[in-house]
Amino acid sequence: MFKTRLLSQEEVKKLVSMKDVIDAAEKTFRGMGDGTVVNPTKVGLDLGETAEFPPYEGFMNAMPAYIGWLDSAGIKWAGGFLGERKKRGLPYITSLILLIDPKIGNFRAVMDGAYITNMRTGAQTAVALKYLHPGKNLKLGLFGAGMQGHTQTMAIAELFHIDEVHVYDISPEASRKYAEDMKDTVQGKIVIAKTPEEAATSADVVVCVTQSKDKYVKDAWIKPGGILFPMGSYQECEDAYILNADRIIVDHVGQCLHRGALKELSEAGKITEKNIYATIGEIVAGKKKGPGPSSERTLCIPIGTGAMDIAVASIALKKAEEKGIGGSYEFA
Amino acid sequence: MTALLITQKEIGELVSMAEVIDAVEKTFRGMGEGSVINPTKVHLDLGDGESGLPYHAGMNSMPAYIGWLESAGIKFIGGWEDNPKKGLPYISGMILLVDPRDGRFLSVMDGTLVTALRTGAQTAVALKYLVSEPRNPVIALYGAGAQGRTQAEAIATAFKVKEFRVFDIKEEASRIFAEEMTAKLGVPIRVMDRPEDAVKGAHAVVSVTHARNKFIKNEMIGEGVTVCPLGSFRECEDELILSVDKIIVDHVGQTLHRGALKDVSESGRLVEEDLYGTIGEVVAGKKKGRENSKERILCIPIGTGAMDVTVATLAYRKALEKGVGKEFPFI
Repeated sequence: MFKTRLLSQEEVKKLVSMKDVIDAAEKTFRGMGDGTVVNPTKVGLDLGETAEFPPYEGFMNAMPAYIGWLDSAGIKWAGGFLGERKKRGLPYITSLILLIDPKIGNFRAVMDGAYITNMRTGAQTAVALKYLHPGKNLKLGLFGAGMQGHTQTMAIAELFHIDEVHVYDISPEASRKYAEDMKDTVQGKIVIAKTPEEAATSADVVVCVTQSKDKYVKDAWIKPGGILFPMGSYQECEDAYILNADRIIVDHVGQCLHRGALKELSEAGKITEKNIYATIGEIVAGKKKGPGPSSERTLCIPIGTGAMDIAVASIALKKAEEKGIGGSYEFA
Repeated sequence: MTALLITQKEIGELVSMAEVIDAVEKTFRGMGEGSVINPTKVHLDLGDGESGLPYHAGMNSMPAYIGWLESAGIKFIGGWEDNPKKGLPYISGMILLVDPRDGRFLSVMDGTLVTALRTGAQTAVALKYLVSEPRNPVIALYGAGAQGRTQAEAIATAFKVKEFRVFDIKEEASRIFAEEMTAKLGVPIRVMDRPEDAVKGAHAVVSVTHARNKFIKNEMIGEGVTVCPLGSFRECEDELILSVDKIIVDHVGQTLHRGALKDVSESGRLVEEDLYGTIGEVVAGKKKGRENSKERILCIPIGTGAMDVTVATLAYRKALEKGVGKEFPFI
C-alpha cells in the first residue's frame, strides 16, 4: 500500500554534508528550546555493556522523536558493541533509522543510522560552541582520535577557525592517522600531545570522545573561560570539575542525569536538575544567555538525542526524494 | 552487510499460528526464568497525550532480547485514530532484528501482522494455564474486529473450543465475524445481543474493544471464569478488578500504567503487591496457575516487545531457510 525508501550508508553519505547536518542540528536545538520537538528519554536494551546477562558487551538504545520544523517523526535504534563485533573489525556503532509520516503513520524510510550518528554528534558540539564560545578562533584539545574524533573536528572546523588541535589517544597510531586525515580540515596546526595534560591545558575547548571509565580529565587542567565536552558513555572527567564548573549545560536533562558524565554524581545525589544552568535548546532559542564571563568554566554535555538523528535523517530523505536516490520497498 | 526485508504477506505465509503459540509459550517461560530482557516500552506522543500535536496518534518503541532464541530486536508501532475514516489501516508498525552477538542488523519487517499473531497467541498460552475447562472451553469474545479474529484463531488452535459467543456493539460486525470465522476455524460461533448473555456458561471472556465505559460488570463474571481484558482503555468495572481471586499480567510495569488496571492503580486502590504474578512465572512453574474450578481470574497480557521479537525471529529464520524476502545492503 505504501512505499518505503531504503537508503544505504553510502547513499546517506552522498546526500548530507556536514553543513547540512549542522544546520539541521541548530534548528532542532531551537525547536527543543521552543517546545516544538518531542523527545522522550531513550530506552536502553543492555546486552552486556554493564549487565552480566547476556554476555555480548553491547547495548542498543531506542531513540524516538518528533521534529516540528520538519513535521517528521521516527526512531533511531543504535548501539555499540565491543566483543565479537570488535573481533570482526566492525565499527563500534551499529544503527538503523526509521521515519514515519506523523499524519498517517506510514513508514517513509529505513536508512543506515551509523553515519548520521557520527555526523550529528560532531554537529551538536559545533552548534553548542557557536553559542558558548566567543569569537571565531579556537584551540581544541581532543581526547579520542577515532571516528568520533574526526567528525567532531570536521563539525567544529565548519563553524570556527581552529588555530590548534592538541590530540591525545591511548593509541599513538590512531593519533598519527587522525593528524594525517584531518590536515586539510583543520585550518591551523595539529599537535599530537604526549600526555593527556598537555592536550587539555593547551586548549580553550576540550572535547572527549573516548570509552574510558577513568575520569582522566583533571579539574586543574581546564582554565578560566574553558569549555569541556565529555561526550563518552562513561565519566571522563574528575568529580571535582563537575562540581566546580561554573555552568553545566546539557542537551536533554533526563538523559544526562542517567547516563554519561553526570550519572555517578547524579545517582549519589550530588548533582540534581537544579545544578543544570540550561539546555543547549534554551540557549539556541534565546531563552538563556550563551557565552558566560571569561572567568567562568563551562561543562557542556550534548549526550545525543533522537531528535538530532530524526532531523538529519529527514533531510537525507528529502534530498533522496528530490534526486531519486535509494531503493524502494512495500512492506505491507 | 545486508539485512533481509520481509513483507506482511510473506510473514503470513512463513509462520503458522501453532508455531507462534509454541514460541510465545517459550518466551513466557523465559520471562519467568529471567532469560528475556524486556524494558518498559517508551512512548512517542504524536497527539494522543499532552504533546499538543494534532495527529491523535502515538508510537511505542518496544525493544527486547530473547535468551532461548539468542535474538534481539525492536518493534516501533502506533495507532492513528483518524486513519480508519480515511480508509487507512489503524495500526502501523515495523520490526528490526539484530544479531545480539555483534550488533549486525539482520532483518527489517512489517510489524502489524506479527502484532496480531502474538496478541492472539499470548491469550491462548495464558488460557492453557488458567482456564477452568481446558478440554472443551466455551469462550465469550467481545469485539468482532481484526483483533477478535486472531484471538479466536489462536484460541481455536490451542483448544478444542466448544463454542465462541461473540458480542460487538455493531451487530453487523458480529454476524460477518461469525460467518467468516466459523468457516475458517470449524468452530460454532453464536452472535449475542448483550455482553451479559455472551458470558453465561462461558469459561473465559476475551475482550478486544475500544470501550472506556467499563461494561464488563462484576456481577456478570461467575465462579471459575477467566477474564482477559486486552483493550487499551477501560473495559472492566472497578469492583470486578478489586474482587477477583487472582490478577495475572504479562509485564508488571506496563500493566499498571496502561489498559484495564490504569484507573485503580493510579487512584492507589491497586498496588503491585495485589498482582498475583506474571504469566511468565506461571508458565515457568514458579507460581501456580489456576488452583481450583471456582477461582475468578483476571489475566492481562497487554503485550510485550519480547513476543514481537520472538515471532519476528521465527519469521526471519524461516525466511532464510526458504529463501523468502529481499536482501538490502544498508552498509
